[in-house]
Amino acid sequence: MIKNALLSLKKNIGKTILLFVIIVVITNLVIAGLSIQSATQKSMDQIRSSLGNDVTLSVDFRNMMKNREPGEAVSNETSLTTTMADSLKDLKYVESYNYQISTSADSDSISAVETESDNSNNQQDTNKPNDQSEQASNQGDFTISANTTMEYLDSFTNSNYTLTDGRLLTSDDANTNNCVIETNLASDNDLSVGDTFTITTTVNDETIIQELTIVGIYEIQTTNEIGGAHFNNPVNTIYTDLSVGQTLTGSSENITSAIYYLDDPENAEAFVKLAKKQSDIDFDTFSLDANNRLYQQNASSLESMQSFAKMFVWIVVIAGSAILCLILALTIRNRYYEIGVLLSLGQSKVKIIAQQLIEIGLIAVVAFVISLGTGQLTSHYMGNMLESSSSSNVMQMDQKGDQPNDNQQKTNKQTKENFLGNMMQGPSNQELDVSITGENVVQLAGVTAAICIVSIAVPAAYVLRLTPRQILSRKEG
Amino acid sequence: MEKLLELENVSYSYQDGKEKNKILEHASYSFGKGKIYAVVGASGSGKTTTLSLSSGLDKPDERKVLFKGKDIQEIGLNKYRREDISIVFQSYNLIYYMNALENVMSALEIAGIKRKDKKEYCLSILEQLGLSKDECKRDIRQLSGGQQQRVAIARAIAREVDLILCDEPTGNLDEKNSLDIMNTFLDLAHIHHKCVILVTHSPTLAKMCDVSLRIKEGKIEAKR
Repeated sequence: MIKNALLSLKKNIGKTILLFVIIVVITNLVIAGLSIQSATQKSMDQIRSSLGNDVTLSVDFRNMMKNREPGEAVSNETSLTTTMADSLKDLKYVESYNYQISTSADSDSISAVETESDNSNNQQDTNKPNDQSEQASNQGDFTISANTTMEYLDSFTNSNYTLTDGRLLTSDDANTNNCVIETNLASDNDLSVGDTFTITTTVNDETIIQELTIVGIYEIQTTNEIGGAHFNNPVNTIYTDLSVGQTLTGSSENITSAIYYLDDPENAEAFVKLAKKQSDIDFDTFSLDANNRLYQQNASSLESMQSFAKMFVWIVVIAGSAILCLILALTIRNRYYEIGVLLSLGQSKVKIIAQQLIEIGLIAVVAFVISLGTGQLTSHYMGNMLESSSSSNVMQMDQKGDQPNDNQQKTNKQTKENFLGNMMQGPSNQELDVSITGENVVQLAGVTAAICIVSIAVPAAYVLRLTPRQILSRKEG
Repeated sequence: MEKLLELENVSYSYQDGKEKNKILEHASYSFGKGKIYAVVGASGSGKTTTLSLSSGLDKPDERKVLFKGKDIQEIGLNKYRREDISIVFQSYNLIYYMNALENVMSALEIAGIKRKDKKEYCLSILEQLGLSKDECKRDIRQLSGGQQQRVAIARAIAREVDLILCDEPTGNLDEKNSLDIMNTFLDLAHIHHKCVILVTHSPTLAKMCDVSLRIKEGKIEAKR
């Protein structure tokens, strides 16, 4: 069969070249589409990964504002509870979690660090980390950030804050009065690890006094975070165990937010879906934020590029198959003769189709190999073309649009912006990485094989439905 | 006479628009080995249909065609054509992208005949039929009609089957070539004990055959 296929290809050299050129064009376009698709997917995955693997459950004040009647006050009574948060902590994808209470407190035993801008109403708060409070319930001198654990706090994991002495709080510190403070606060008040001090707050006209023991001292690395009013100044942030926050707010049930750390950032959407399906939480009142807004802002252009590439591949595959089918259908008229002869000799229909498949397969294999080289050029050309057409809005961070909408907004937003900015806008990354991957090669092989099979099967089915006598009687026509 | 091929009350018709044209109607005949049969009749009488049904290129509407006592549809029409018969056509039906030798050899390959000396065997048949070695390797389209028909006959002979069916095998040939080809068929029947069935318009060739059959009003009648 292979020998016959080669003989046929050699004898019909004109048709062979025509089919070869068409298949080269199709495979080049397909590989360009596939590589753009995988490049955009890769970039989208990078964006998703860069946004972290955390999903935050909190009160959706934005939605509550949207749904209120004009003039109606938004209730401050709505609170997230540990019961609600617990309902999600054992779901699939969740590796660990942190419950957080943000509040503020005063102190008679220590003084807050003062800055020149304390009295000015500046805008520094947009740079504030979210593992501190932006929404202190009563604006004392100190921000209290009470957590189940400090292990995963963004400010520490991304090294914006570094531990200079002692240790961070972990789940082993549950129900203790241990705390971690900033180095300036410590030095101003002549405090070190092992020292104790007290903070006070007022709940329902009742003054609560809480003694805290320092187990760790941290330093803020990014200078532009330092500033703001007392409670807004990150140097005046005191990290405590969740139980301290519950004592200071007078509620053992309410928390400000719950952050779930997933096994993989790409599972964020799946986790949100699962949570909405399996929990009783009212998601009109509470939101599960996987940084989708930030993701959408950055990935929307990539998504449209990806859907274009997907559509492009489909169009090329369908149009390519149709063109090949048409050419083979037109040329199969010349093959009536051959098919009739082979059938009269007793050759099976399967073997007749197989020979034709081998013929087009041999052409496709050569075209495929060539396309692996030329496809790279086509991919780059198409990638550049698509990028330049959407470069004005692709991957640009809308800084204004990223203003935190609540106290769960990502606190290391700036870092991420920088990362995304670098990734998308840096000179070395201005082009999509449209290099052909192993997966692309496998996909292209599959697509090419499918096109060949369809383009042979359709005309062959048309001929082979006839009896050998009918085919032989038509060959003259 | 040993029955090789039997047409058993075979009927065949085809649809022409709204009309149904009956070609064969309960036609019966038995063919034996060692004889050459001529099938004659007016155009459209059913000569080629008889050959197509006998060769398994088409199926009868009613009843059956038996080969060595077995319904050829039970044998499997493809298998029957591949292993039990050879067909020679008026237009030679050679595969155009193969040379003479490759055409003969491919017929053996399709029939699943495995011989170590396949090439020499096929060459010897072609040479016996008057083709030179050079002609055997020439582009098939560069051979004359007579030579092409000899290649087709070589292809039929090489398969070593008992039944050879020929549809106007000399229709495109001059008188000399026709007689040469006819003599080859006579040898195949009388010397090699094959059953040769020949559809022809030529009364001269029909007279040379052992039995002359006429298709008339859907029936097969033996003239001689």
